[in-house]
Amino acid sequence: MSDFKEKEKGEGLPEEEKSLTTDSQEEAATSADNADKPEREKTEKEELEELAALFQQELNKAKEQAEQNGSISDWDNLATVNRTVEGVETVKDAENEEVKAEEVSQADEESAEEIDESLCIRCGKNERKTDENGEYISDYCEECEKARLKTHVSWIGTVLFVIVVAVMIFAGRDFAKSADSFKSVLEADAMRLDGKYTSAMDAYYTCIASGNDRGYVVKNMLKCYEDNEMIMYASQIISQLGYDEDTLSKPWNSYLEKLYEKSEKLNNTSTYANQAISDATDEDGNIDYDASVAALDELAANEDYDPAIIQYYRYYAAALASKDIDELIEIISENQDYVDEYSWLFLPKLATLKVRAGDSEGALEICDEMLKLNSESYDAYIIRIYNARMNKDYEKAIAEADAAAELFNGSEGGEGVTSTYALGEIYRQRSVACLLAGKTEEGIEYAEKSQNTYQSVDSTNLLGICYILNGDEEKYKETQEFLENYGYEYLTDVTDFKAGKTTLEKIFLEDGGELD
Amino acid sequence: MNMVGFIIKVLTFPGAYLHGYWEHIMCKTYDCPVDDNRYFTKGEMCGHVEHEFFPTAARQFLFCFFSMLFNLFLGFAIGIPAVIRIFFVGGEQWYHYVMLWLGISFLTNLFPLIDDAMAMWEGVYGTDKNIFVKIIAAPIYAIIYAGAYLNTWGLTLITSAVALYYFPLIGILFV
Repeated sequence: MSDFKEKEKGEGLPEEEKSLTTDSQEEAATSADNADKPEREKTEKEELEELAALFQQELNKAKEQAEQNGSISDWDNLATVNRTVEGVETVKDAENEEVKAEEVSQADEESAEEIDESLCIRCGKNERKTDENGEYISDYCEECEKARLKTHVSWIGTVLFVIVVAVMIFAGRDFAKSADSFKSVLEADAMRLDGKYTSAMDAYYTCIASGNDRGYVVKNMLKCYEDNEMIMYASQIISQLGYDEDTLSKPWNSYLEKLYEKSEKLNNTSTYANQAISDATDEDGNIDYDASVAALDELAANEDYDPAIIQYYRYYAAALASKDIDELIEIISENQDYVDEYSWLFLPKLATLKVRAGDSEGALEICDEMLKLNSESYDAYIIRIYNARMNKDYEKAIAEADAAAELFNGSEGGEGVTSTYALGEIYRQRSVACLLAGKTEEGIEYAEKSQNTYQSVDSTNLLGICYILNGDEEKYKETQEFLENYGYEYLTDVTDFKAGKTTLEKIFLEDGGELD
Repeated sequence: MNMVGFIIKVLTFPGAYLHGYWEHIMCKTYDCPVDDNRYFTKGEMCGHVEHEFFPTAARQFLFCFFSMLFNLFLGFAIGIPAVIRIFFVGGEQWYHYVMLWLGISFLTNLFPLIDDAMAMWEGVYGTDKNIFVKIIAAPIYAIIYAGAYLNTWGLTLITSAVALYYFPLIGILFV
């Protein structure tokens, strides 16, 4: 600041004073205008000094602020510029020049705008298009208007389009190759969505067997396992398909992981519950019901086991202990959540018990519910035949059996579901209905069909009864040998029937209506 | 257009470029002057051409609709065989993934610029058009309008991937 003032004094004022002393006489003799000049110059200098002081003051303030903010700026460099009065004058001149330049540029723009209004905005040369009255109707001249309509499409776009068409043809050929496999997947999906889980399961399995092991197919196939007895095999299938702990832990396999765990838990529970009941049964097959229930309660306390399955085994133990029907119904329907979760396990038993209790309507309602959940529930059809037979409506039972056989005749080349167990059981029920209706020959025919479709202890024993009825001793013995080969022998009902101790009606209409 | 939208345009450049190409052809077909025929520029005009307003609402609609339809057809024609191989049938090769990318790129760039969609909407719903026309056109207009809005955010990448996965499964209804 001091330096600045010294310069002002040293450089400015002495020269002016000198000029005043030398030219004072001449100046006094000249006009009054000239006498006013030094005074005016002085005023300007003072103004400039004040301006300089103000500028310096502002500069100092700014510097202080910059220091306070911790940033050393270029103020020092700036401060060296225009320190003199002349310097300040230079700034003033520069400002004036800038203002002038701005005025000129504005004038240029205004004139340019005036030009733009009449000329085409595209080419800037020709006049804009006008109508008949000479008024502008477009921003463009006629030539540019035409040119804008005739822009050329990009050749790159054309080339890209040609390439894309080629890719599209290739994609079409590729689609044709995979169309059959995809159709099989869609058919399986359609069956699953229709609730035909057995057929869907078979269809998906066919896809997998033909090499299509996509996650989509595997996942949807296993969805069919979830709501029926096949869930017991789900963990086994998942392992067979190559899913291990690592792959199952991936987020996109979360559904398979849950299903695997559920299946494993169910199998473990079933194994231990079976063991508990076996432990409570003596060598003669008599069960200690209380001991078995206590063992099952102990299992239920462990979270590793499924409480719904344990509840089912409570029913099983009660059934083995020959508890009465009402008690069995109460046990199996004790917890509705369990029934809902494992409807495939609880509902058929409940429906059968209702038939035995004489509640046909209740049983048929449950059958309808089973068919809603799985339209290919063979249990529902078999219980319907059983219900008709137990109500002594044999013709209805035969008709129901024939209709059901149509739905499960896949193993015989029909269009129905391929389930040998279901078809064999349907034939067996039909055979019993025929025998009760007095149609012995037809009964024998269907008993043999049942045995040929699905061999079981029940179907073989039924054959024994049939051969007793038609007096075919040779075949009766053959059947006995067949049973012995597998470590079995005729059931008491069969031997009693042969001995004349019981009747068909007693066997098939009383005490559950099945062979004991 | 935000940066995400532009990045998605770059990632799906075949679809964006070809959509601009279709728009240009539509402009030529319906005598609409084109101001800027660069199809792939940074900014909201990426995948579009700058053009004047269409003289009629029908032309504005057809401009939006056909540009969408061509990309839609190409997207499905190329994408579906790839999706079937990759997700449903198996036996995929490297080129199936290229086809999948191409399919998604076309389906991502189906929709017009939001300004065009608005002009299209105004052309029908801002005028005294027949109420019957308004009702019939409503679903298509709504789809185009919503798609144009999603397109500015690049969200059509997600919608196109989802559509491409689920579209082949419509076949369940016909087997």
